[in-house]
Amino acid sequence: MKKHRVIKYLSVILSVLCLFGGNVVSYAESSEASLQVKFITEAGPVTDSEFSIYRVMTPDGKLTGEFADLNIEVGDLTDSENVGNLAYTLASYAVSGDGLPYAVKKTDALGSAGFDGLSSGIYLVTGSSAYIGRDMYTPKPALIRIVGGAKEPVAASVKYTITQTEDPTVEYTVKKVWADSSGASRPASVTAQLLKNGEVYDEQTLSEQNNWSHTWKDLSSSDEWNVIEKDVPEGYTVSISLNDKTFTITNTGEGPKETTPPANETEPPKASDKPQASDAPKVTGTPTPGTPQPSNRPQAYNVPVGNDNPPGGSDTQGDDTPPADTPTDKDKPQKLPQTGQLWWPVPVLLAAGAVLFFTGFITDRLSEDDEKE
Amino acid sequence: MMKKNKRVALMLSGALLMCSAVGLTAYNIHEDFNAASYASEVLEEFDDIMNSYKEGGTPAGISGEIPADGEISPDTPMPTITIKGKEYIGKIKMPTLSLELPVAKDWDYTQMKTSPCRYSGSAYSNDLVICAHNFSTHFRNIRNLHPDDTVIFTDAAGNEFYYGVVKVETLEPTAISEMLSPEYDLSLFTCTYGGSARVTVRCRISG
Repeated sequence: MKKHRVIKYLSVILSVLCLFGGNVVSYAESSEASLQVKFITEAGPVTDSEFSIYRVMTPDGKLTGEFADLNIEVGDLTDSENVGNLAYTLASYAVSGDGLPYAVKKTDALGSAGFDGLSSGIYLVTGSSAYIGRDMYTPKPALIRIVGGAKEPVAASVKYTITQTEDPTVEYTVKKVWADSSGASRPASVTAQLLKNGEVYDEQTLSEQNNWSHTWKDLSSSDEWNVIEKDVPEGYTVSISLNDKTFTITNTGEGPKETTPPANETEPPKASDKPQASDAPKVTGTPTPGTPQPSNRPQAYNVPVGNDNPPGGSDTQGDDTPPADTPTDKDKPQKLPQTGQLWWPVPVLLAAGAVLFFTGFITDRLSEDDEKE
Repeated sequence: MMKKNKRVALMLSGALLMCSAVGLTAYNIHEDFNAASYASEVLEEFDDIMNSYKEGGTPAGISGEIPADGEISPDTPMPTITIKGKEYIGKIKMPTLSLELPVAKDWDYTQMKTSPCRYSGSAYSNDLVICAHNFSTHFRNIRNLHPDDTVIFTDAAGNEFYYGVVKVETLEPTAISEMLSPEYDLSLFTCTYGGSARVTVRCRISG
C-alpha cells in the first residue's frame, strides 16, 4: 500500500517537473520573433554601426551550430558575470570566423537595427565600433533570449565601452589559467592567437617557459584586438575574458578521459593530435605581425578597447544579464580553486544533533515520570 | 506520548550527528596538522638547497635557468627546487603573521593539501598569484594582514622580492579575470570560512 502511495507521489512530482522544466524547450520552433537592437550612447544614437546576430544556443541553453564544436565553457547561465564572459568568448570566436552570422544590419538614424524572422533560441549580438568625435564607442557583446511567437519585438539596448585613442599604441597581455582538480592532464603548452580586426595577426605558444603568459606591445590603438585559444585541449572547455588590457584564457575540465601518454615537456602537442575545434582559423605557420591575412568574412564583432566602465553606458536588455528563463548548467563551473576546509557542517551537525538528542531525552524523562505516576 | 523506541531513535540520531561533527572537526584538525608538518619539512629542505647554492655551491637540486643578480627578465621561467617529487618555485614569508611557507610550481588540489601553490604568473613579471587552503597554518589568517604589512617572496635561487600589502578584498569564486588583475604585483588568496568566496590580499612590490 505504502509502495503504491510513494509511486503515486513520485509520478505527480515527475509530472510537475515535466510541465515546468519542459516548457523551456516547448516553444513552437516554427513561430518567429523580432529583435530590435539599439546603440544609443551618452552622445546620442550611433548610426551605421554594423550589428551581427548569431543563433548560438538552443532555447534550453545548449550551444548550437558551429559554436557547438568549439568546446566553449557555458557555465552557469544564471550568473551575470559568467554570461558576460560567455558572450565575450563566443564573440571572440565569432569574429575569428567560427560561426556565420544569422544576419548583419546597420543601425539607422535612431541607432536602431531590426532583425526579423528569428526562431526561438539564445542569440549573440555583436556590433562594430563607431567614432563620435575622438571617442571610440564599442558595443559589448550580449546574449539575448528570443522566444518564438512573441507579439512584441525584443528591444535590446547594448552596453558599450568608450576609448579615447590619444595614445597611438597599446599593449595587451594574455594569461592562461587552468580550472581543473589535477594538473596531470594539462598539455605542455597551448596556442593563443591575437586577432586584429578579426584576422589572425600573431600567435604565441603559452607554456611553463613563459609562465603561461605573453605581452604584445606596440599594437595600434585604433584597431580592434581579440584573443582566442587555437585548438582547445582535449577534455577541456575554454572561456575568455578581458580585464583592462589583460586577456585571460581559462580552460575548465579534467583532460582526456581515456589514458594517454603524458605530455612531452619539451615538445608542444601537435595540432593534428587534438580534435579540430572548427574549420577556422586556418593558419599555417606564424603570421608576421603587421601583415594581416586577407579575408572575405563580414566584420562581425569589435573588441572593446579601453575603459570597461563608461560613464553613462546604457543597459536595458543587451547587457550581461542572464537570458531570462534560461536553465542553468552548473556541471562545469569555471571558478577559482576551492581552497576551504569543510567547516560549515560542524555547527549545523552539532545543532541538529543536540536538538534531536535532547528532544528524545526530555520526552523519555517525561514518559518515565508518567509511568511512575 | 512518543513511544520508547522512537525516543531512543531520536537520541541515537542526535548522538550520531554530534559524533559526525566531532569526527569532522578531528579530521580538519588532523588535515591542518599534516599540512603544517609537511610544509615545514619541505621548507627546511628548500632552505638547505637554496642556502647551499647561495653560499657558492653547485645549483644541484635547482631546475631551470637561474637568473643572475640584476638580470631577472620578466620572460624568464622561474627556477624550481624538487622536494619529495614536487617542484617548488620559492617560499613566501609574512612576518606579521609569523608565517613562512613553500610555494609549489603549479596548483592542483592534491598539492594544495600540503603547501600553497602558484595559481598564475611569476615574481619576475610582477603578476604572481598564489593560492592556498584556509588551514590555520596556511592562508587562513591572511585576512588579518593590513595595508603596508610586508610580504616577502624568495625564489629558488634566493632572490628576495619585498611587497607591501595594498588591500584585502573578497572576490567571488568566478572572478578569475579580477584575480589576475595586472594592477597588483602579488596576490594571495584563500577561501572564506564558508568557502563561498575568496579572501584576496593584494600587494605591490616595495623593494
